[in-house]
Amino acid sequence: MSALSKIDIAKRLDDKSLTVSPLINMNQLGESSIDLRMGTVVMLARAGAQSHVDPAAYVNRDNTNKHELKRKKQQKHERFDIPFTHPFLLHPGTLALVPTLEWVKIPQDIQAIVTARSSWAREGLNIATATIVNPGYCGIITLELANFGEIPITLYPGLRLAQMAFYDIATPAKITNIKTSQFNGKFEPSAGDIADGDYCFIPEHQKK
Amino acid sequence: MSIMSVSRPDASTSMYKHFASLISSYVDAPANSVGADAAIPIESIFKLLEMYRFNAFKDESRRGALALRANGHLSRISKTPSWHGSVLNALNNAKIDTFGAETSTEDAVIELETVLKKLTKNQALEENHKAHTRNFFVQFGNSLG
Amino acid sequence: MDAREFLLNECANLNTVLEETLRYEYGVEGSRIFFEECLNRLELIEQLINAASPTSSTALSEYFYKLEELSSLISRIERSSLKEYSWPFLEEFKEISLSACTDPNTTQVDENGNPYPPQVHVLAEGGLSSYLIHVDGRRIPSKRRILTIFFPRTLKHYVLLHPILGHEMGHAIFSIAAYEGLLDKVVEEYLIQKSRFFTSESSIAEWLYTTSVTPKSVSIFLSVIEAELEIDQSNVMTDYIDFVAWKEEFLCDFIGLLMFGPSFLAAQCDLLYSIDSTGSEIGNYHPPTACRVNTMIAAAQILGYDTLKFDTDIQIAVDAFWKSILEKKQLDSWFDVFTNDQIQTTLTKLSAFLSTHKKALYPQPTTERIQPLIKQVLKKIPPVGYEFKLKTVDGELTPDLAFDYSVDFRDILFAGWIAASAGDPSLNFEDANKLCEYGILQQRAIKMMNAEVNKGAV
Repeated sequence: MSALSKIDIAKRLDDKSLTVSPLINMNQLGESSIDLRMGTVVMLARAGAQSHVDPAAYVNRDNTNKHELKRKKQQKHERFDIPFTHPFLLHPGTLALVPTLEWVKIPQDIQAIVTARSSWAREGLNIATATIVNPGYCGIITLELANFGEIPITLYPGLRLAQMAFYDIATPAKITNIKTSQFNGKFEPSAGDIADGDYCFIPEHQKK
Repeated sequence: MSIMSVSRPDASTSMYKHFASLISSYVDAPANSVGADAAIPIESIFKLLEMYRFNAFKDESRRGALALRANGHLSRISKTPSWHGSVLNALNNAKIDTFGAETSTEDAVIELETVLKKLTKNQALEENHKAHTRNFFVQFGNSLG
Repeated sequence: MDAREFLLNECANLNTVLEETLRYEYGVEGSRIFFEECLNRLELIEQLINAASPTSSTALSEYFYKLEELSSLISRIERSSLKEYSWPFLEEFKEISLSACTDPNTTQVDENGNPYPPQVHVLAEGGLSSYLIHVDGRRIPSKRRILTIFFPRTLKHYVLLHPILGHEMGHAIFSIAAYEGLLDKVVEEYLIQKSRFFTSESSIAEWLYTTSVTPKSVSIFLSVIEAELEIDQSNVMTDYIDFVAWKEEFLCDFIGLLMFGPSFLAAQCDLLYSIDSTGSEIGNYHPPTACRVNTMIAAAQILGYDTLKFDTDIQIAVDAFWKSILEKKQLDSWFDVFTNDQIQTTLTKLSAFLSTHKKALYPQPTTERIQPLIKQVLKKIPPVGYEFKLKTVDGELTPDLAFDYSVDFRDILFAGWIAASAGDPSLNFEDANKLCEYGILQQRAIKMMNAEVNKGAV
């Protein structure tokens, strides 16, 4: 597994085997990465919607109580549309999910890693979670933004917040594995199922 | 006294009468015609003159392209008499009284609109334009009853 | 409390409501102009009520309705929220509306003497038929016009269907007195007076009720309105059809097509036939659906929209798109109310009118513009003016980003409709629609960067 250099990335973009669309400025293409811009939606974890995060809450216990199931999902995050040139204030300790402006299609033989741009990291902006983008992924990338500093950070859609590096992998993934990804083809962030596939580890009494 | 039982279309005659009186007063006190208070009366009369100039008095809200039925039901059309009969009559009377029958509506309106534009900027008015404007709007207000 | 006191009290209440609207963000540009315009109108109405005699029922009832209209406007503004509509589409659409719906004759001008454009406000409403642009009446005392664009709440992201708003823009243009006269003349002179059926009210009634040639589906509809409303040939034109409104509907269909191109036609076909499956419904204010759709299909063909040639794999999708459109054409010639010559002349006259308004006329589509966008949608990539290429400079490979790709959002919509017709089971209408919505958003970013580059700032 080796990292793709600027020219490797450029060749992949040129032959269309890798898509990061659009790069609206040359300076997005770094020595071994592509800068990603903030999209125009912010999903903010809503304080008070739930007392704590619990994987058991994701286990589909009662299909008949649709109101409760849907309400929990809807109230978990507050959704904001932030048009270009409008500010979004990220307060210390707040978690915000934002899409990238770019649409990506990762080929079967490449894995991507997303991290914060160092200049933003120095201001306290962290994009540390879920860094791996799997082979075959198609859609926006969700950036999980957190402010680790002590003062709020103003963000504007379109700013380059993150960077994505690429690594080729020896054995390309099978398409059948990728189809099951819960985020594939997404246009904006949404909450994932943190217990997906792990229901056996949730206590039975919590599932009822 | 009920204020909601009137079924006739809104001809806006009271409003236009009030605005006409304001505009004839602005001609002699142009300083009053500049600023937020005068902007709406001047613009509203200007729009009325435009309707007069282009004989474009429809001023109706249309339903959406897909709203084939009213609330999903078939219905007859509601027939309302046109709103502008008395207003048009008053405009014609004022025009003939001020400019004479031989002057076209187009020419009369263009002169009046020029005056209104000048009033919003507190620009000097020619004496004959002042007289025309004063007379037109006094006559228009009187004709509205 | 007498009537005058009641109205003055209502003015105070409305003032409170207006202040409450400032709690919300209801547009990309914020709230200042709406607030100031509404406040000015309210203060003026209050002055009028104060100046009226307490016993003048005529004046007070007139001002009651003025106040009610303002109250409706403010409540519409209050109910609007950015998250209820596709704002990137709206921003593009607003650019057209500002150009096409600015009254050229007004006392309200900026420091350069240019007329202020209307203020555009957006609202989502329930019901499929909510597509509408509400325009301030000319009798509303106002400084600046306010247009309220209504979207159906359920279709908020369906940008491929939103071109139907081109028709509504026609009404908004028509609401300007100077344009009403001009457009009325075009429709009357080149369309109506030359038509076989529409030259007089009796000829329209005859067209509808000549049972030997009237299509069966239309006859069935006529028998329904006879049974339910006692409408027959003798009173259809006085009690059922508002022909002045019909003429305006035809006009606005033409404007919609010229403004949005093939995506208007596709949206109109889908939406109208989803409401009126036989195409035979005769509306009070709307001509029979099939007459409207047949006219627009003929107009699109006259404009040559269906003659573009593409690469073989793309052409399959394009052919499928036009096939689906032509399937909506009613073959009974009873529905063809205008000849191609009449349609051609009307198109020419209206194109000349729209071309004087920046962006109002959809530029004639070309293969070069549309094909790359279709390809992107088919590859499940949002369609935008972007292509990454490598070029050789001094013997070295260098990225060559095509920054100057400016793409008209109406081209994106056309491409989306074609891709959605391709028959790819993994790309349904919703997918193509979402890709186009995202493409329009991305294209705005490209446009902003292009403007910055052109200024030399980057």
